[in-house]
Amino acid sequence: MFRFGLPIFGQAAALKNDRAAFRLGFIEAVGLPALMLMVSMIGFGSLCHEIGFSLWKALATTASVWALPGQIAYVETLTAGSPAFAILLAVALANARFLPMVAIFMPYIRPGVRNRFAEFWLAHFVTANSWIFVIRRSPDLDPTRRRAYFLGFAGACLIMGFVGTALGYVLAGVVSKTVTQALVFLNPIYFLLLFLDVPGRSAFLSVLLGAIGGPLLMRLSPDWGLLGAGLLCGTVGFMVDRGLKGARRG
Amino acid sequence: MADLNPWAMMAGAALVTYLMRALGVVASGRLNVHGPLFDWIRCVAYAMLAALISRMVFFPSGNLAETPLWARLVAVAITLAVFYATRRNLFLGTASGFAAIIALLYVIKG
Repeated sequence: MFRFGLPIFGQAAALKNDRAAFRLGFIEAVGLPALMLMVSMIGFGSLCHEIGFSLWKALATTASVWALPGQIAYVETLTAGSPAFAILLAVALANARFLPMVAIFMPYIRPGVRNRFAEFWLAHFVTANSWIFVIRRSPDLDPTRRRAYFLGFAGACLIMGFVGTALGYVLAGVVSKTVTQALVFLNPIYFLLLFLDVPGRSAFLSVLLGAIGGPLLMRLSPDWGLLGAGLLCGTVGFMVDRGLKGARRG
Repeated sequence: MADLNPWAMMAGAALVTYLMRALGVVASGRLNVHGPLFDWIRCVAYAMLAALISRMVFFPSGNLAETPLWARLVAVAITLAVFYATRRNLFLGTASGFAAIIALLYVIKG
Protein backbone atom coordinates (compact mmCIF):
# COMPACT_ATOMS: atom_id res chain seq x y z
CA MET A 1 0.00 0.00 0.00
CA PHE A 2 0.90 3.65 -0.06
CA ARG A 3 3.26 5.14 2.47
CA PHE A 4 2.61 8.82 2.28
CA GLY A 5 3.10 11.03 5.29
CA LEU A 6 -0.10 12.38 6.76
CA PRO A 7 -0.01 16.10 7.57
CA ILE A 8 -0.85 17.09 11.12
CA PHE A 9 -4.19 18.81 11.30
CA GLY A 10 -5.17 19.27 14.92
CA GLN A 11 -8.52 20.96 14.29
CA ALA A 12 -9.78 18.16 12.06
CA ALA A 13 -12.13 16.87 14.76
CA ALA A 14 -13.68 20.31 15.23
CA LEU A 15 -14.72 20.83 11.60
CA LYS A 16 -17.81 23.03 11.73
CA ASN A 17 -19.77 21.59 8.83
CA ASP A 18 -19.66 19.27 5.86
CA ARG A 19 -18.25 22.04 3.70
CA ALA A 20 -15.20 22.39 5.89
CA ALA A 21 -14.75 18.59 5.90
CA PHE A 22 -15.09 18.48 2.11
CA ARG A 23 -12.48 21.23 1.77
CA LEU A 24 -10.08 19.44 4.11
CA GLY A 25 -10.42 16.22 2.12
CA PHE A 26 -9.88 18.06 -1.12
CA ILE A 27 -6.77 19.86 0.15
CA GLU A 28 -5.24 16.72 1.62
CA ALA A 29 -5.70 14.90 -1.67
CA VAL A 30 -4.05 17.64 -3.73
CA GLY A 31 -0.57 16.67 -2.65
CA LEU A 32 1.22 13.44 -3.27
CA PRO A 33 -1.90 11.21 -3.57
CA ALA A 34 -3.49 13.11 -6.44
CA LEU A 35 -0.12 13.85 -8.01
CA MET A 36 0.71 10.13 -8.04
CA LEU A 37 -2.70 9.35 -9.41
CA MET A 38 -2.14 11.88 -12.17
CA VAL A 39 1.23 10.35 -13.08
CA SER A 40 -0.30 6.88 -13.27
CA MET A 41 -3.20 8.16 -15.37
CA ILE A 42 -0.73 9.90 -17.70
CA GLY A 43 0.61 6.42 -18.40
CA PHE A 44 -2.91 5.16 -19.05
CA GLY A 45 -3.75 8.10 -21.32
CA SER A 46 -0.61 7.48 -23.38
CA LEU A 47 -1.44 3.78 -23.62
CA CYS A 48 -4.92 4.68 -24.93
CA HIS A 49 -3.39 6.96 -27.55
CA GLU A 50 -1.00 4.24 -28.67
CA ILE A 51 -3.74 1.67 -29.20
CA GLY A 52 -5.87 4.10 -31.19
CA PHE A 53 -8.60 5.01 -28.70
CA SER A 54 -10.17 8.44 -29.09
CA LEU A 55 -9.57 10.92 -26.28
CA TRP A 56 -13.24 10.61 -25.33
CA LYS A 57 -13.01 6.85 -25.07
CA ALA A 58 -9.94 7.19 -22.85
CA LEU A 59 -11.69 9.70 -20.56
CA ALA A 60 -14.91 7.69 -20.51
CA THR A 61 -12.96 4.59 -19.47
CA THR A 62 -11.31 6.48 -16.62
CA ALA A 63 -14.66 7.91 -15.47
CA SER A 64 -16.73 4.74 -15.72
CA VAL A 65 -14.25 2.11 -14.53
CA TRP A 66 -12.30 4.42 -12.19
CA ALA A 67 -9.74 1.84 -11.14
CA LEU A 68 -6.41 1.78 -12.93
CA PRO A 69 -5.61 -1.97 -12.71
CA GLY A 70 -8.96 -2.80 -14.28
CA GLN A 71 -8.51 -0.10 -16.90
CA ILE A 72 -5.13 -1.49 -17.92
CA ALA A 73 -6.43 -5.06 -17.90
CA TYR A 74 -9.29 -3.89 -20.12
CA VAL A 75 -7.11 -2.06 -22.64
CA GLU A 76 -4.47 -4.80 -22.79
CA THR A 77 -6.87 -7.70 -23.23
CA LEU A 78 -8.95 -5.74 -25.73
CA THR A 79 -5.91 -5.01 -27.91
CA ALA A 80 -4.67 -8.59 -27.50
CA GLY A 81 -7.95 -9.61 -29.13
CA SER A 82 -9.23 -11.72 -26.25
CA PRO A 83 -12.85 -12.94 -26.32
CA ALA A 84 -15.38 -10.68 -24.61
CA PHE A 85 -15.94 -13.05 -21.73
CA ALA A 86 -12.18 -13.28 -21.02
CA ILE A 87 -11.88 -9.49 -21.08
CA LEU A 88 -14.71 -8.96 -18.62
CA LEU A 89 -13.48 -11.72 -16.34
CA ALA A 90 -9.98 -10.21 -16.33
CA VAL A 91 -11.36 -6.77 -15.47
CA ALA A 92 -13.59 -8.20 -12.74
CA LEU A 93 -10.64 -10.07 -11.22
CA ALA A 94 -8.31 -7.09 -11.49
CA ASN A 95 -10.87 -5.10 -9.52
CA ALA A 96 -12.07 -7.89 -7.22
CA ARG A 97 -10.16 -6.27 -4.38
CA PHE A 98 -12.95 -3.67 -4.22
CA LEU A 99 -15.34 -6.18 -2.70
CA PRO A 100 -13.48 -6.58 0.60
CA MET A 101 -12.16 -3.00 0.43
CA VAL A 102 -15.59 -1.40 0.17
CA ALA A 103 -16.97 -3.78 2.79
CA ILE A 104 -14.28 -2.62 5.22
CA PHE A 105 -14.55 1.03 4.18
CA MET A 106 -18.30 1.70 4.41
CA PRO A 107 -18.66 1.45 8.20
CA TYR A 108 -16.18 4.33 8.57
CA ILE A 109 -18.30 6.81 6.63
CA ARG A 110 -21.72 5.28 7.41
CA PRO A 111 -22.52 7.63 10.35
CA GLY A 112 -22.70 10.54 7.88
CA VAL A 113 -24.59 8.70 5.13
CA ARG A 114 -28.36 9.20 5.05
CA ASN A 115 -29.41 5.73 3.91
CA ARG A 116 -28.11 2.46 2.55
CA PHE A 117 -29.06 3.49 -0.98
CA ALA A 118 -26.61 6.41 -0.87
CA GLU A 119 -23.80 3.99 -0.04
CA PHE A 120 -24.23 2.42 -3.46
CA TRP A 121 -23.41 5.62 -5.26
CA LEU A 122 -20.60 6.57 -2.88
CA ALA A 123 -19.01 3.15 -3.50
CA HIS A 124 -18.09 4.08 -7.06
CA PHE A 125 -15.60 6.67 -5.75
CA VAL A 126 -13.70 4.30 -3.47
CA THR A 127 -10.18 3.72 -4.80
CA ALA A 128 -6.95 2.51 -3.20
CA ASN A 129 -6.02 6.16 -2.55
CA SER A 130 -9.20 7.34 -0.87
CA TRP A 131 -9.55 4.05 0.98
CA ILE A 132 -6.24 4.29 2.81
CA PHE A 133 -6.42 8.05 3.42
CA VAL A 134 -9.97 8.17 4.74
CA ILE A 135 -9.38 5.20 7.03
CA ARG A 136 -6.16 6.69 8.35
CA ARG A 137 -7.79 10.08 8.87
CA SER A 138 -10.98 8.72 10.44
CA PRO A 139 -9.84 8.73 14.10
CA ASP A 140 -9.34 12.53 13.84
CA LEU A 141 -12.71 13.18 12.26
CA ASP A 142 -16.21 13.52 13.65
CA PRO A 143 -17.84 10.32 12.29
CA THR A 144 -20.68 12.30 10.67
CA ARG A 145 -18.15 14.44 8.75
CA ARG A 146 -16.18 11.55 7.23
CA ARG A 147 -18.54 11.26 4.27
CA ALA A 148 -17.88 14.88 3.28
CA TYR A 149 -14.14 14.46 3.83
CA PHE A 150 -14.23 11.38 1.60
CA LEU A 151 -16.14 13.21 -1.13
CA GLY A 152 -13.65 16.08 -1.08
CA PHE A 153 -10.75 13.67 -1.28
CA ALA A 154 -12.33 11.57 -4.00
CA GLY A 155 -13.36 14.68 -5.95
CA ALA A 156 -9.79 15.93 -6.09
CA CYS A 157 -8.61 12.47 -7.20
CA LEU A 158 -11.25 12.36 -9.93
CA ILE A 159 -10.23 15.74 -11.30
CA MET A 160 -6.56 14.79 -11.30
CA GLY A 161 -7.44 11.45 -12.87
CA PHE A 162 -9.11 13.23 -15.78
CA VAL A 163 -6.27 15.72 -16.10
CA GLY A 164 -3.73 12.89 -16.13
CA THR A 165 -5.61 10.81 -18.70
CA ALA A 166 -6.04 13.80 -21.02
CA LEU A 167 -2.47 14.98 -20.50
CA GLY A 168 -1.01 11.54 -21.23
CA TYR A 169 -3.19 11.18 -24.30
CA VAL A 170 -2.31 14.59 -25.73
CA LEU A 171 1.39 14.28 -24.87
CA ALA A 172 1.64 10.90 -26.60
CA GLY A 173 0.48 12.62 -29.78
CA VAL A 174 2.96 15.49 -29.75
CA VAL A 175 6.17 14.42 -28.04
CA SER A 176 8.85 12.31 -29.72
CA LYS A 177 8.44 8.58 -30.12
CA THR A 178 11.02 7.97 -27.39
CA VAL A 179 9.11 10.04 -24.83
CA THR A 180 5.86 8.33 -25.83
CA GLN A 181 7.49 4.96 -25.21
CA ALA A 182 8.61 6.21 -21.80
CA LEU A 183 5.08 7.45 -21.01
CA VAL A 184 3.66 4.00 -21.74
CA PHE A 185 6.50 2.54 -19.67
CA LEU A 186 5.10 4.47 -16.65
CA ASN A 187 2.39 1.80 -16.36
CA PRO A 188 4.61 -1.18 -15.49
CA ILE A 189 7.11 0.71 -13.30
CA TYR A 190 4.38 2.39 -11.26
CA PHE A 191 2.66 -0.92 -10.55
CA LEU A 192 5.95 -2.67 -9.90
CA LEU A 193 6.60 -0.24 -7.04
CA LEU A 194 3.07 -0.61 -5.72
CA PHE A 195 3.55 -4.37 -5.66
CA LEU A 196 6.59 -4.03 -3.41
CA ASP A 197 4.28 -2.70 -0.72
CA VAL A 198 1.52 -5.30 -0.95
CA PRO A 199 0.44 -6.29 2.54
CA GLY A 200 0.88 -9.93 3.51
CA ARG A 201 3.09 -12.82 2.47
CA SER A 202 0.40 -14.63 0.47
CA ALA A 203 -0.11 -11.60 -1.76
CA PHE A 204 3.61 -11.07 -2.16
CA LEU A 205 4.17 -14.71 -3.17
CA SER A 206 1.32 -14.43 -5.66
CA VAL A 207 2.84 -11.31 -7.19
CA LEU A 208 6.20 -13.03 -7.52
CA LEU A 209 4.74 -16.19 -9.08
CA GLY A 210 2.45 -14.21 -11.38
CA ALA A 211 5.34 -12.07 -12.62
CA ILE A 212 7.38 -15.18 -13.50
CA GLY A 213 4.65 -17.52 -14.74
CA GLY A 214 2.33 -14.94 -16.28
CA PRO A 215 4.27 -14.07 -19.44
CA LEU A 216 4.89 -17.77 -20.14
CA LEU A 217 1.26 -18.76 -19.71
CA MET A 218 0.17 -15.84 -21.87
CA ARG A 219 2.48 -17.12 -24.59
CA LEU A 220 0.85 -20.54 -24.38
CA SER A 221 -2.65 -19.12 -24.59
CA PRO A 222 -3.03 -15.48 -25.61
CA ASP A 223 -6.76 -15.54 -24.86
CA TRP A 224 -6.89 -17.28 -21.49
CA GLY A 225 -3.28 -17.14 -20.28
CA LEU A 226 -3.85 -14.05 -18.16
CA LEU A 227 -6.75 -15.58 -16.26
CA GLY A 228 -4.95 -18.89 -16.02
CA ALA A 229 -1.89 -17.14 -14.61
CA GLY A 230 -4.04 -15.38 -12.01
CA LEU A 231 -5.83 -18.53 -10.94
CA LEU A 232 -2.79 -20.80 -11.00
CA CYS A 233 -0.15 -18.46 -9.51
CA GLY A 234 -2.59 -16.88 -7.05
CA THR A 235 -3.77 -20.25 -5.80
CA VAL A 236 -0.20 -21.55 -5.45
CA GLY A 237 0.81 -18.37 -3.60
CA PHE A 238 -2.18 -18.73 -1.31
CA MET A 239 -1.51 -22.43 -0.64
CA VAL A 240 2.23 -21.95 -0.02
CA ASP A 241 1.46 -19.19 2.48
CA ARG A 242 -1.01 -21.43 4.29
CA GLY A 243 1.44 -24.32 4.18
CA LEU A 244 4.15 -22.15 5.76
CA LYS A 245 1.73 -20.99 8.44
CA GLY A 246 0.76 -24.58 9.19
CA ALA A 247 4.41 -25.70 9.30
CA ARG A 248 5.21 -22.99 11.83
CA ARG A 249 2.29 -23.95 14.02
CA GLY A 250 2.82 -27.71 13.78
CA MET B 1 -11.69 -12.19 -31.75
CA ALA B 2 -12.48 -9.23 -33.95
CA ASP B 3 -15.34 -6.78 -34.07
CA LEU B 4 -16.02 -6.34 -30.38
CA ASN B 5 -17.83 -3.06 -29.94
CA PRO B 6 -15.38 -1.05 -27.81
CA TRP B 7 -18.10 1.14 -26.28
CA ALA B 8 -20.14 -1.90 -25.29
CA MET B 9 -17.00 -3.54 -23.90
CA MET B 10 -16.23 -0.40 -21.90
CA ALA B 11 -19.74 -0.42 -20.47
CA GLY B 12 -19.20 -4.07 -19.57
CA ALA B 13 -15.83 -3.33 -17.95
CA ALA B 14 -17.40 -0.48 -15.96
CA LEU B 15 -20.30 -2.69 -14.95
CA VAL B 16 -18.21 -5.59 -13.63
CA THR B 17 -15.99 -3.13 -11.74
CA TYR B 18 -19.00 -1.42 -10.22
CA LEU B 19 -20.46 -4.82 -9.37
CA MET B 20 -17.44 -5.48 -7.14
CA ARG B 21 -17.96 -2.17 -5.32
CA ALA B 22 -21.71 -2.75 -4.97
CA LEU B 23 -21.14 -6.26 -3.61
CA GLY B 24 -18.77 -4.66 -1.12
CA VAL B 25 -21.62 -2.46 0.13
CA VAL B 26 -23.87 -5.51 0.37
CA ALA B 27 -21.19 -7.53 2.17
CA SER B 28 -20.34 -4.69 4.55
CA GLY B 29 -21.15 -5.79 8.08
CA ARG B 30 -22.37 -9.22 6.95
CA LEU B 31 -19.35 -11.12 5.64
CA ASN B 32 -15.99 -11.71 7.25
CA VAL B 33 -13.73 -10.18 4.61
CA HIS B 34 -10.58 -11.10 6.54
CA GLY B 35 -11.11 -14.85 6.10
CA PRO B 36 -9.30 -17.28 3.77
CA LEU B 37 -11.81 -16.94 0.90
CA PHE B 38 -11.06 -13.26 0.43
CA ASP B 39 -7.36 -13.81 0.95
CA TRP B 40 -7.48 -16.27 -1.95
CA ILE B 41 -9.41 -13.80 -4.16
CA ARG B 42 -6.82 -11.17 -3.33
CA CYS B 43 -4.00 -13.58 -4.28
CA VAL B 44 -5.60 -14.40 -7.63
CA ALA B 45 -6.09 -10.71 -8.40
CA TYR B 46 -2.53 -9.81 -7.44
CA ALA B 47 -1.05 -12.70 -9.45
CA MET B 48 -3.04 -11.66 -12.50
CA LEU B 49 -1.98 -8.04 -12.25
CA ALA B 50 1.64 -9.04 -11.72
CA ALA B 51 1.41 -11.23 -14.85
CA LEU B 52 0.04 -8.29 -16.83
CA ILE B 53 2.73 -5.91 -15.61
CA SER B 54 5.50 -8.46 -16.12
CA ARG B 55 4.39 -8.98 -19.71
CA MET B 56 4.50 -5.21 -20.27
CA VAL B 57 8.18 -5.32 -19.28
CA PHE B 58 9.25 -8.57 -20.99
CA PHE B 59 6.92 -8.86 -24.01
CA PRO B 60 5.31 -5.45 -24.48
CA SER B 61 2.97 -4.74 -27.36
CA GLY B 62 2.91 -1.73 -29.66
CA ASN B 63 5.46 1.03 -29.51
CA LEU B 64 7.25 -0.26 -26.44
CA ALA B 65 8.07 -3.50 -28.27
CA GLU B 66 10.59 -1.59 -30.38
CA THR B 67 12.74 -0.82 -27.34
CA PRO B 68 15.45 -3.35 -26.42
CA LEU B 69 14.73 -5.64 -23.49
CA TRP B 70 17.99 -4.77 -21.73
CA ALA B 71 17.09 -1.06 -21.74
CA ARG B 72 13.74 -1.81 -20.11
CA LEU B 73 15.43 -4.01 -17.51
CA VAL B 74 18.09 -1.41 -16.71
CA ALA B 75 15.35 1.20 -16.31
CA VAL B 76 13.47 -1.14 -13.96
CA ALA B 77 16.69 -1.67 -11.94
CA ILE B 78 17.19 2.11 -11.65
CA THR B 79 13.55 2.53 -10.61
CA LEU B 80 14.02 -0.01 -7.82
CA ALA B 81 17.36 1.47 -6.71
CA VAL B 82 15.94 5.00 -6.44
CA PHE B 83 12.77 3.75 -4.75
CA TYR B 84 14.75 2.09 -1.96
CA ALA B 85 17.38 4.85 -1.77
CA THR B 86 14.63 7.43 -1.16
CA ARG B 87 12.90 5.44 1.61
CA ARG B 88 10.32 3.98 -0.76
CA ASN B 89 9.23 7.21 -2.37
CA LEU B 90 6.72 6.18 -5.04
CA PHE B 91 6.93 9.44 -6.95
CA LEU B 92 10.73 9.64 -7.14
CA GLY B 93 10.97 5.96 -8.02
CA THR B 94 8.51 6.25 -10.90
CA ALA B 95 10.01 9.53 -12.12
CA SER B 96 13.53 8.06 -12.15
CA GLY B 97 12.39 5.06 -14.19
CA PHE B 98 10.74 7.42 -16.66
CA ALA B 99 13.89 9.53 -16.96
CA ALA B 100 16.09 6.44 -17.18
CA ILE B 101 14.26 4.86 -20.11
CA ILE B 102 14.31 8.16 -22.02
CA ALA B 103 18.05 8.59 -21.41
CA LEU B 104 18.80 5.00 -22.42
CA LEU B 105 16.76 5.19 -25.60
CA TYR B 106 18.45 8.43 -26.65
CA VAL B 107 21.88 6.92 -25.97
CA ILE B 108 21.03 3.89 -28.10
CA LYS B 109 19.88 6.07 -30.97
CA GLY B 110 23.14 8.01 -30.67
